[in-house]
Amino acid sequence: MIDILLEVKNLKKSFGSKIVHEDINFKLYKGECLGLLGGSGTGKSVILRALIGLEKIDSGRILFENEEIQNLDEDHWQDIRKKISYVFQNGALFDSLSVRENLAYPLREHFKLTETEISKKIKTLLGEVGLENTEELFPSELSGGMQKRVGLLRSIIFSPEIILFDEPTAGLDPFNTLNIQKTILKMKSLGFTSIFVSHDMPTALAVCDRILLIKNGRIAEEALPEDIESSNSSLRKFMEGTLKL
Amino acid sequence: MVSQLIKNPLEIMGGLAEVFMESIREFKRKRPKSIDVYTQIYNLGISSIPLIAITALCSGFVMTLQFGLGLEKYGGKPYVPKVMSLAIFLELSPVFTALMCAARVGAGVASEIGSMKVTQQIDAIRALGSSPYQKIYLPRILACLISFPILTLLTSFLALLATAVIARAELGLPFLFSYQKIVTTITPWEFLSGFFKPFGFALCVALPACYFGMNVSDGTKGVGRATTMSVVTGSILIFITDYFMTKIYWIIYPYS
Repeated sequence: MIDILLEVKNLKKSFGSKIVHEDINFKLYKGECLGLLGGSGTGKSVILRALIGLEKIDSGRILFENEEIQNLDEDHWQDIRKKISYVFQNGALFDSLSVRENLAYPLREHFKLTETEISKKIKTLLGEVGLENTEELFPSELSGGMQKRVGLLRSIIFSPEIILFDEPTAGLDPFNTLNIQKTILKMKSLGFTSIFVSHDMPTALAVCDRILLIKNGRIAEEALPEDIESSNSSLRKFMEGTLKL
Repeated sequence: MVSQLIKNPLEIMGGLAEVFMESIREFKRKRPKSIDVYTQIYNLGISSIPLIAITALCSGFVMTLQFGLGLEKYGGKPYVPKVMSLAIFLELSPVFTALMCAARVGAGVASEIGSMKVTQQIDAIRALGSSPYQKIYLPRILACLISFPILTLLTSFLALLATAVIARAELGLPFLFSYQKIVTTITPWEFLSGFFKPFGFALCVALPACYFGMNVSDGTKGVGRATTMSVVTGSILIFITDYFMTKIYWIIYPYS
């Protein structure tokens, strides 16, 4: 039996009178990369934020390792956030800290590593994504693509169980998009479980094991990437730009 | 309109109380890292010294001149150092220091936290399993609590020095005379009154700065609004707190 790592049941969320999610249900299996697609404003990021407690949901249940987490207090969320990591759309790097200090932040917060061990780990990771010699630079000195990669590294440096990607390729050129894609695929091969939220269909098809389409506050469709192109599904129409959400 | 006038201040006071209580809870749960507090003491306290020094010296010069010229008509010139030392220790120094800090520190902290909120850095701190209270708010609140009393003492010293200088230069009162009058006028109670007020004022500046910063919405426009609200609220709270702390002081020590 495949392990269910995370499960969302009957999730409802509204902002004032605007109902964003009416009834969201899905499961995330261990080791898979699940794609969440949908038009702008369909609340994809809201789901991700709810999964790590940055957004309170109106009703429904979120189960992580078979335990309900949606009503936890902030102290307990801090423990969950060491296991579920969030990659922000714009990187959300601390602008007063250098790249090195940004990456060292979660290591210093949660692990008892020596400065030498931290430096070694940072150097290795930066080298792997082609960001050598950027350690002492500040976020304002980096390009958008570099900021996203540093943000991504900061979110995976402490080896979480689940990684939530919030539009990691938005606004990037094809070269940087491919770089991010390779990084996600590499993490997938290392056994990381992830949820990938994006409008970027080629990347979603390349990295996801399953893809869900959000429409009218519900999961409208679920498909395997290899089946989408050959079918006449909503996902295919969404990919071709002929589906209005 | 009227309901808004009542609702808004109540909402702000409720928010400030919530930040205060949460800060105490977080402080009890876990102490913030010393390095974070030291950094903020430097940023908020030590970096404020030039501003505080200029304010202290200028207010000391002007007030001494005003008192001196005013009292001279009634033969009260020798009382200038005495009057000035009481005014400086009891009111001028704590209030002026706090107001200058509300402008510099309050505005700085509110805009910094507000910008962090807008750029999702506060969310990033939470997403990385840390508490913004531990990393952002508490170090700033503690830095204000530590810095304000020291800055106030510095203001008092410099304002008294300015008094002695102007008393000598403009009123012809010798330095030693001014020094003796100042030393014999200020009792330990008066010294403590001036020393304890800054702790209250530190909270009047730090809590609104954190509260308005963490509740920024509407992007950069919101950051500007939060900064203004922080300075205005902080300044008003300083005057209100000053009245009550003075009242408490007079109840405890009624000069009987």
